Formats: sequence, C-alpha cells, structure tokens
Amino acid sequence: MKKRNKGIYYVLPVLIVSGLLILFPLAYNVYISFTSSNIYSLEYTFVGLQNYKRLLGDERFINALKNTIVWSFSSVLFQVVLGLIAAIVINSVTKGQRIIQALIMVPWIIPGIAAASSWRWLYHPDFGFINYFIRSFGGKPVLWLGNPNLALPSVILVNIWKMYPFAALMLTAGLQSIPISIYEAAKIDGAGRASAFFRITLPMMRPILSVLSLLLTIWAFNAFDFIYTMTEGGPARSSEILGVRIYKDAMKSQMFGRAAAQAMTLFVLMLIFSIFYLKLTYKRSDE
Amino acid sequence: MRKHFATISTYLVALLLIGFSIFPVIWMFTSSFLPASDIYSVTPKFSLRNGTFENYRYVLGETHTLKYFWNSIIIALCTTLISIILAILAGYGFARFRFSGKNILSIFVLLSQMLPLVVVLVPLYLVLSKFGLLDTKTGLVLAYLIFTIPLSTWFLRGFFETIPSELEEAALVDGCTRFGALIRVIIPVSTPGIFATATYAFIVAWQEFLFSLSFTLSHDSRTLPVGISSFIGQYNINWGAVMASSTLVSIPVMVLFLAFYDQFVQSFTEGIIK
Repeated sequence: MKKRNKGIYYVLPVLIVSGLLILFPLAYNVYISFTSSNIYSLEYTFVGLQNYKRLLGDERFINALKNTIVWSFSSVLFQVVLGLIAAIVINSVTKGQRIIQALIMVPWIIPGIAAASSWRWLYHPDFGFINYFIRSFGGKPVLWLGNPNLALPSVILVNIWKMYPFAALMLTAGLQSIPISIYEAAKIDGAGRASAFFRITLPMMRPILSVLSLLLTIWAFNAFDFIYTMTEGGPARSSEILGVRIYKDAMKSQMFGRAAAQAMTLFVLMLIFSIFYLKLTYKRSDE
Repeated sequence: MRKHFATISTYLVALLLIGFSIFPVIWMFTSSFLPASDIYSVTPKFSLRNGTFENYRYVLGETHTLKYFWNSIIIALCTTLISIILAILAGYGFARFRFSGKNILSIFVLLSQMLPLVVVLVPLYLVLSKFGLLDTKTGLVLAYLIFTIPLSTWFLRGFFETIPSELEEAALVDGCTRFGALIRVIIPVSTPGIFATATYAFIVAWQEFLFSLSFTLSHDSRTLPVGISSFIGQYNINWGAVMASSTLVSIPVMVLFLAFYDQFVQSFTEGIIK
C-alpha cells in the first residue's frame, strides 16, 4: 500500500518552500550576525565574534534578557495555574459547559492588537476603568504603564489574560483523558477529593503540563506584539523584552549585525532551555 | 448539602473567570460606540443612551482603515489558500507514503513554532528589499507562509491518517489515479479538518504584527493591526477610533471562531492527545 516513489512529489512543494523560507533566512541570519553593517546597504564587513562579545557588556541587552526571563516565567506560571483552575471548572460543570468554555476562550481568540489596545485603555491613568474602580473605593489612581516598576507586571497580567484559555483548553483535554475508573478505585480505597487530586490527577497530567509549559514559555520568549503596543518597552526600558530590543536595533537603528547576533542568542538560549527541560521531564517519567 | 455547595462554588468560579475573560472585550466593544464626551469622562459611562456611530464613521471614512482591512483580508486569504493547497498535498504524502526522512515534517513544524520571528526578521527584510518586495502584499504573504505551512501540514497529516485507506483503494480499483482519488474522495471527506486548519491559518495571518510592522511602509500593503497601532502611536490618541478599529479587526476572527467552534475544539483536543 505504501509506495516509495510517488509520495515525494506530494511532499516536495512544502519541503522546498519551507526550506527556502525557514532554513535559508536562518542561515543568512547567522551570517549577518558575524558582520557589521550600520546602514541599510548590502556592504558587510566581516567582524567575527565581535557582535557577540559586545553583548556581554551591553547593558541594554542584559536588561532585555532579564526582563524576558521575568516576563516569561511569571506569565507561564499564572497561565498554567489559572488555566488549570478553569479546566477543572469546565470539566466539573454539567450544564452549560460549552458556553462557559467558549466565553472563557474569548481572550485567546481576540487579535493581539485589539487585546493590547483594550488593556491599554483600561490602564489609562485618567479615563481607564481600572483607576475608576480604585478611585471609587477611595484609592489613588495608579500609573500602570507609566511607572517603571509597574509596567512589566501590568503587561504580564495582559499576557496571562490572553493565554490562560489556551492552557485551559489543553488541560481540559488532559483531564478528560483520565479514565474515571481510576477515581472510582481511589474512592473505594477511601481517598478524599483533595487527596485524589494531588495523588492521581496531577501526576497523570504531568506529560501534558510539561508540554504546555514548554510551549507557553517558548511563545513568551518570542513575544513582541503586546509589549510593543502597550509600552514600546518603556518607560525607561523597564518592560523591554528581547523581541522589542531586537526590533528596535534592527528597524529603528538599522544595526543589522548587532540585531542578528542578539536574535541568534535568543534562539540558542531557547533551544538550550527546551532541551534541558525535555530531558528533565523525560527523566522523571522513567522513574 | 455538601454537593450543593461544591456545585455553587464551581459555578461561581466559572462566573468570575468568564467575567475576567470577557470584560475587556465588552469594554472595547461598548467604548467604540460612545461619543468623545462619554469616553473622555472620568466616570465611565455604561449606558449606550448616547450611543453613536461617530467613531466608526471617522475610522472608515477619514482614515485608511478600510484599505488596511482590505489588505489584511487579501493577505490572510492568499496565505491561507497557498498554505492549504500545499498542506493538503504534503499532508497526504506524509500520511500515506513511506519515507526515509519521515521525521522531517516534525522537525520543520517544531522549528517553525519555536523560531522567534525576530531571528528571521533581518534576513527577510534584506531579501525582500533586494527583490523589491518590501511594502507589497506578496512579500508579506511569503513571510507568513513561514509559520502557516508547517503547522497546516502537520494538522492535515494527522487528519488524513484517521481516514481509512480503504476509501482510496475503492477509488483506485475503479480506475482512478491516486491524485484523482485524493481530489474526488479524500478531500470531500476531509472538509471539516480542512476548514479547521484553514481557519487557524487565517486567524494567525490576520493578526500578525511584527512582519507587517517591519515590511510595510505605506498604505499599499499595511495591514489592519499595524494601522491600529499607528493610531495609538500618535500624541493625542483618539481612543474612540482605537476602540472602533479594534472591534473591526476582531469581527472576522470572532465570526470564524463561532462558526467553526465545535470542529475547532474537537480537532484541537484530538491533536493534543497525540
């Protein structure tokens, strides 16, 4: 049934296109990262590892890296926790499950730009709803996106809001795949609900939890849209993550070599993280 | 009694989550219909008694929003069309034929999903400009294919694998070519999966931001998301206009989502299990 030769024709277009569009730019980016080009021209001077060495002392790069790590891990932590709560709720309700799930999923469906602008409006110091809420309880209005200490947490909240439904979707599927017979056996053995949750549900969800966390972390690492629209990385680069930093170096300052080097660093860091993470989770599941 | 408490608290949490999820969206929607006097008031107005289409009239009549909307539609449709056609072919090939490098697809998909877009930003920018494709819809479509093709192929391969090969066998016995079997038998049967995949590709292309921001320079090819962000970038932000255009950009996606909700969730959960 499975022939050897004909199949290649079906697959070739995708392989060619993907190869051209993914591998070639990737390789080209590696090349660019070894050059220095300050203006938009195709004149490159090969400078070797200079761009990379510069990064170690580049205060803006270090700042962006730090922000990226804080942004990613905080976002993912709460996306998963909130998603888990939502998944449990969705899985437990008998009536209206479909509509509850659909409504919970709205943040994920809304285009990123609409989400970012809506939240920026909510965060508005004078006319935004959040400060109105605070004022009506007698509090003082807060400068959410304008305060260097609050900017990053404020955008992290938006990231949590946007992606927790995705986590909920995946985790609902995971919860539904656990056979009820296991719970019944546990009940016979006298296990309470909390105990059943921690001893049965969570361990059985470990594979899907780890895949989900990895996916969310990767997406957070690569993020750009939200932060650019809400703060452009400000104020004073307090919310600037690597994606925004690289965009600015590439498109605003036209420093292609430096931007390429930062991008490669981001990519490699992410790969290393992913490999370590997968190794860690595979080791555990062998025990 | 205990069971009642558990049920009530579950629905309460559900209500909180729903409120959390939809409040910003509802706020965006209602704000878009408020006149400037109500928007720029220190106490938010909830009633739509003063509701007006003023923002929409401004956004659609006096800005380039309509052109951006149109650009977005064309670009997203082209991207989806090309992705689906190639993905149907390749997904079928991967599903039915044996290859030595069968894992190539998985590697490509993984790579395309893990790749930070900024990594290909600079090379794409330089290449597109060399070919005169900056500020064109074509250039943007090519850029979008980077992330829509691999995932679409992956989805469709998974889908085709669930279709028993007896179906094509019967067609082949009747004298069909394999390609003919694909067109006449497999595709009609796979429409739900194809639609779900196309919907996902469309949604992803529709809201793409970074490439559009970097590769477009004028109204010729600018997409709606970038158009909206340029509203925000001004010194005196017209928030009514921002809310109106944000609502506009959300409409196609919401419509698609509602139309294909069941299939979407179903294919998603099935795909995850694998």
